[in-house]
This record gives sequence, structure tokens and C-alpha cells, in this order.
Amino acid sequence: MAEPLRELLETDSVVGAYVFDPAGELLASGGRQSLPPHLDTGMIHSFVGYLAQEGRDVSECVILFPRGLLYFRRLEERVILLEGDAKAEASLLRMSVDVAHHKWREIGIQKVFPGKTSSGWRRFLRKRRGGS
Amino acid sequence: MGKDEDKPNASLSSPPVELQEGAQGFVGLLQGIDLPNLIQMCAMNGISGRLRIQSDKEAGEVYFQKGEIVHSVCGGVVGFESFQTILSWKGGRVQLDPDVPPPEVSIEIPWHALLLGAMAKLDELRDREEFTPPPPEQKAYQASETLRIYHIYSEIRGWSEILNGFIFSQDERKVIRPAVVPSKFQQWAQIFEDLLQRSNALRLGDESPPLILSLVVEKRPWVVLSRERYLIALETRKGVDLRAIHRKLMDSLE
Repeated sequence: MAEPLRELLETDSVVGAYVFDPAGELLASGGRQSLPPHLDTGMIHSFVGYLAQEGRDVSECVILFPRGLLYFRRLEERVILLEGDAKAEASLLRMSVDVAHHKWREIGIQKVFPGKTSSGWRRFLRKRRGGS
Repeated sequence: MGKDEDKPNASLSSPPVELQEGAQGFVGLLQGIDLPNLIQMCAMNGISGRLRIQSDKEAGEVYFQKGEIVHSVCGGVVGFESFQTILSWKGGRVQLDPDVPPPEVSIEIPWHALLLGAMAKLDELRDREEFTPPPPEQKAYQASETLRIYHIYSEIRGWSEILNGFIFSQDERKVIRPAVVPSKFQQWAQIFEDLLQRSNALRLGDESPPLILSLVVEKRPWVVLSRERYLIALETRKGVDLRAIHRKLMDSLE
């Protein structure tokens, strides 16, 4: 599949799209390597982690700012974050994610956004800790 | 605002409150609930009748008609001044006698305006007398601020965009409105509070804090904000314009 976030990034008023695992680890960011500097990685990590693990009844959150908004949505085992500009409307972003999710579900969201695999050393240490 | 001093009717209609087993209405001690809250509950529930209050030294009566406070008497005084005096009592016993009509009408202003006015006046008097505030752990918030929040909340609940709501006291750690709390609200309040705290730490390119947090819980959209030590959660109709709701809320709160 081509860059899965491309269509979302082409939506009007969307300036960023990011996908996280339940621990708040960034899995996809529309071609970027990390969150842009104006988004505090630690705070986003904390918010996403809480939403995915503790806020189980909450399916989405919109945080409205004077000059934009952050739209968080739980998608099975993933959390997607869209950053909208000052004209962004939550209802439009919601619909865009609905459409994208419909496509991703057919493939399997964990295949579209696979989790980060542990390094060889971590796997080795985990095996020794649990296995011996 | 009220009629004063030594009127023929400025006496109690019955002896001071005795706890009576099996009496109609209710009898109770003023412990765990303050008098302004009790009076507000009577008003919000549209009570008609007489509320008799017996403090350590004095006795007073407040009369309701369909939730409006229409008469108050204590210590030979009727009207607003007696109401204010009664509100200043710290403890005692209360008895509500439903459907007892007032001997006269000495108060003719809406109950919430009356309560706010009386509480503000009390705050002012306490300040003037160099009222010593209770220790921080008991201080919580001024009763007048609580009433202001309740009043704003009941006003907002009347908006067509708002379907449901609750107020969570961050000091008492419980939902304090509505009076009958669905169990889910208590559970959600904690999640709403945690997400609100985390969202308040986020910034978007500049130093401006978030305006408002919106959540979807079990397919129901809510907006959440905090004022003083209260968290206000409001269930909205689907598809409401968040910026418009935020503006409207700010107008009400300020």
C-alpha cells in the first residue's frame, strides 16, 4: 500500500497526520521521521497512552486551540492524530478518518501500521528473562 | 427587598424544631450538607412548604411555593434579612413540612437571585469582620462560587444544543449535579478529568492553551471544561460547531 496517510494529508485543513501504538509510540507520520517540533512529543505520548490504555470508553477527542485543533481517534489497536489548521472542522476530519479506516480495515490495521519490532538484543534479553 | 422589624407576623408559626419520628416531609441534622445547598435542592425540586431550621441558639423558617422562596422569618425579622441570618447558621436541625402555606409573602425575587444575593452579602460581612477563613483543607470554595456554578450550569442545561451534563467537584471527588447521578457519570468524570489535565499541557505552535476539550464516549459527544475546582461536562447534539459552543460557554461563564 502506498503511503497510507497520504489521502488524509490531502484533506482540506489537515496539516499533519500521525499514527501511534497503544503505548504512545509513533508508528507513521506521513513521510516524517518524528513529530514536528511544535508538537511536544512527551505530552502527545502521554495523552495518546492514556487514551489508548485508560480511556477505553472514549473513542475520540478533539482539543480545540485558538489557531487549530488536534483530533485523536482510537482505531482498534492504534490511535490516529490529525492536526487541523484554524479552519479545520472536527466533523470533516471525523468523516475523512471514517473513509480511511474503512479502507485500512480490509487489509487489517496492524498490517497497514505495523508495530515496531524489538531489536535483536531486546528480544534476546526478554527471552532470557522470561525463558530460563 | 424585605420587610423588617417587629411586624405582627415576624414570629415563628410553630415551636422550634423537635426531631419527630414519622413526621411527614423530613427531619434531619445539618451535617454533611450546608444550608444553602439544602435550600437550593428544595428550590430546584419545586417544593412547596415550610423549612424549619433550629440552630444552637435560634430558630427560623423559610417558606417555598413551587420552588420559589416567598417568606422567611427569624428573630422577629422577616424577608431578606432574616433569610441572610438563617443562611449564616453553621449547624442545627431542619424539618421540611410540605404544603404548609406561608403566612405572608415577604420575598418576591427569584430564588437563585435571592441565594446569590444573600451569599454575596454574607461574604462581604465576613470580610469586613476580618472573618478568619477555615484551614485550607476545609476551605474548598466559597458557597457563593458553588451557587454561581450551579446557576450557570442550570442555565446551560437549558440550551437546545445540550442534551445532558454533570458537574464534578475536584475537591470532593464526586459528581455533585445532577442530584441523581447515573453510575457511568462518576466513572467518566475521572477519565474526563485525566484527559482534560493532559490536554491542558498540550500546545499547538504557540503558547496558547486549549480552548475546549471535546470527547466521544459510547458514541455520545461531550464537551468538558473546568472552572475553579469544578469540572463541567456537557453532552452536546451531534455535529455542533465547537467554536460556537466555546464562545457561548465563555459568554455565560464570564
